[in-house]
Amino acid sequence: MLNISDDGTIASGFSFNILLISIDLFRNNNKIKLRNSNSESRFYLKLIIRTNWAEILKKIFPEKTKIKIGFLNIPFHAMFVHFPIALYTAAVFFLFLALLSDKDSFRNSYFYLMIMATLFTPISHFTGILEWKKKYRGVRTHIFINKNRYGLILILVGGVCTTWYWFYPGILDNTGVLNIVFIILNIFILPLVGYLGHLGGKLVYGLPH
Amino acid sequence: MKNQIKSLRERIKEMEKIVEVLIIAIPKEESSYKFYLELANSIEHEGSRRMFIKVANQELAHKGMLEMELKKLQHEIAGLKSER
Repeated sequence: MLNISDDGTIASGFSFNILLISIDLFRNNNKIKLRNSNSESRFYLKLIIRTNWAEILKKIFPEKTKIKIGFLNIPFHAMFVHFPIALYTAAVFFLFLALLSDKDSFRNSYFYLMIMATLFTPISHFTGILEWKKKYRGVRTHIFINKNRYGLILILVGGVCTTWYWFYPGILDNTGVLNIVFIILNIFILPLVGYLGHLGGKLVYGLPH
Repeated sequence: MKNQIKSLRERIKEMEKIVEVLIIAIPKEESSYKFYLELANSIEHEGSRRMFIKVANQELAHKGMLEMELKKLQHEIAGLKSER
């Protein structure tokens, strides 16, 4: 039988141990009874389950969770963040080549690169948020706020450019205000990507002296 | 009154900059700790192993210090924000 005091002074580490013991008992088919399990105690248990689920999984399934927990430690953001940077830059480069030489191959290259970049940007953003929550404890500072904000703008601008060209591929043939707006939007991607990369560099390589 | 609010805002901004530095430094200390610990585990020479464990513990102590400072600062910022 496990006793949990109802005075609200249970230390988180201590109650976490109780939970792990209870899981051990559960695995050995023993009955667990929580005495004095008032609302406060239950709240504590719920909180612990939420915060230490990886440890609990490790206890329940020691072998199977190894893969899952290892999977969580893979630096996904570092893997995915370089795709939009490279793809958007290459896409804008091909856009200029298409404007200069008017070859269909350059236009197609621009379009396919933009599609790839547009697909990878939300993934990169999402993995970035996960890393911010995990590695940097979700602290809202200038760098993270700006990264989030400009990341969303990049998703929006990239998405608009790709959809625009998808439905109106003739936008590059016309000469007019829309054509200029389209090119400016595409050029606008470059400083955005550069600034986001700069912020990422600050986080990885440290703040400038 | 306006000047007071302005100085309060500036103070919060300044403290948030320090929080930024701390939040970047903490994972670095953690990765250094892991690095030295892995080195200690991979090495066979007893003296070197002890030295790496000592350095790893130092990194862990740094991390603890930074975390304490971070908590203090966050608490202070929350207090200043409630004043504002």
